[in-house]
Amino acid sequence: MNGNWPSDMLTEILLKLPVKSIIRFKCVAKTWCHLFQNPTFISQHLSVSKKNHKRLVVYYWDGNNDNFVMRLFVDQALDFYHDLHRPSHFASIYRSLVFCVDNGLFCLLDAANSILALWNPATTEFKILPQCNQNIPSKISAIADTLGFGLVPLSNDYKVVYIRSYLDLEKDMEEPAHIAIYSMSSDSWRVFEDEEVEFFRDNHICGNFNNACVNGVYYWHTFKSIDDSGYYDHKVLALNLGTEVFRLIDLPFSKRGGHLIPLHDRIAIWDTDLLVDIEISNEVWVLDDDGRNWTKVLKIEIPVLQVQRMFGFWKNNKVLVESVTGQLLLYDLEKEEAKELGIQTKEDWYFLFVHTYEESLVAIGNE
Amino acid sequence: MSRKITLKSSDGELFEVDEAVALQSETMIEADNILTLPNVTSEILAKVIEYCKMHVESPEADDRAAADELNRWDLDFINLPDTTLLDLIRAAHHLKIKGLVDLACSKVADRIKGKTAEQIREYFNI
Repeated sequence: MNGNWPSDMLTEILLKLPVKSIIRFKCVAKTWCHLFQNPTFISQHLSVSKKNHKRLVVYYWDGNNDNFVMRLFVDQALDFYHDLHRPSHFASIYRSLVFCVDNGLFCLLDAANSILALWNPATTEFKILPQCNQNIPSKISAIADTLGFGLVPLSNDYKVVYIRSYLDLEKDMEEPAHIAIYSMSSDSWRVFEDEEVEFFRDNHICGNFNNACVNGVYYWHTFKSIDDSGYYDHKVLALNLGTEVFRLIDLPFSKRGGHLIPLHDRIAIWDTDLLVDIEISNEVWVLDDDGRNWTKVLKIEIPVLQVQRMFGFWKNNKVLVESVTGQLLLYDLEKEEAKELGIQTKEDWYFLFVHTYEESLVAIGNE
Repeated sequence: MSRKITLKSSDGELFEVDEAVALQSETMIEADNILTLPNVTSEILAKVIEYCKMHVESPEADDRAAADELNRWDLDFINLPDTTLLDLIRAAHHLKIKGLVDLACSKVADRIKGKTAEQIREYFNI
């Protein structure tokens, strides 16, 4: 039909195809097959995916039908969705499922059995990670497993951070958290040395709803009690996934935690807390490039409903919030309107997890 | 008095555009007063100029209504027959008009995403 095609022009078109189509077109020509495996193509494809086809993953306990649902919204208006079915062992893990999503990959954890996996739902590739040997004593009662996960920028390496807190039943004491990091490219674990993690050991590291990965740095909300005041000292624990160095960051406000949310490719914190009786500002602060100071950028007030939690921003001045009645809503800050998404979890259960997601061709590597 | 640039299509037709319009094409803006395009027909060149005229001014960052309207115009504009689309991509690529390349490539990708491998070979003459 059209004679010769400069390859970079053809590539421009191919970069905009959904993953499913690309997989099907591998056999069109040998050059196409090679192109689709090229790390530069994969990385550019992911950038296009992030820019044009951002999606939303919601995992929740469906109070109405009494089951756990993992739902993928595929359009910007969040009108169209289908349910995701996890592969293998994870197909029947519900309550003990913990997961993170970053740059096209899911990291899944079966917290009851300490089984971790990486999953690319777009290509359907799936891999169970090798066991992490951490010298954990035999008689223990697990308190909490927390994850961190993300792509190290400019490297194509994804890393998993596994934080395990437990009670040693023989000593009857909470053991300091065991922290290890897995690198997808080397397919191996490294346990952090005491010196690397001692300085934040007395902080309680929060589980997975209030954490985020931005540009290869994973941020956790942490807190520890301040004497007997009844208040907690909240901080942000940051791990640079590339250098594998931890840092504690002070918040721009005190005595409450706030919500960590990605904003315009940076990490931000929203000063809100239903549980605390002190004055909160509802302001959103963004972390500066120095990684220490925060700059106030806007105020979010939602007069029309009571917000239990805020998960982050969506397109065009909209935010995703959980109401106190357990509904997930898309709230338009300009129009001051809330849109229901058909997601209703049981009040007070907090079993609602929301992540942004974009399709990627990235290979997990199964050998 | 802004500069005007003359474009000459492969079939000899002449088009005059304001500098503001030509700014969107790296190739156009670097040219002298007349730019000859032996690989672009008048039909396609007219379409390219139509796009550039519409995109002279980007909407203000917080003007959602204007951005939505421009978006709708784009989607309507790019709804062209396959052959025209592919010629348009070639022209926009040669003229280095990024926005138009992206718009047209997205449209083609959307059209071909459901095809079989065999249909793809036919479409691109592979």
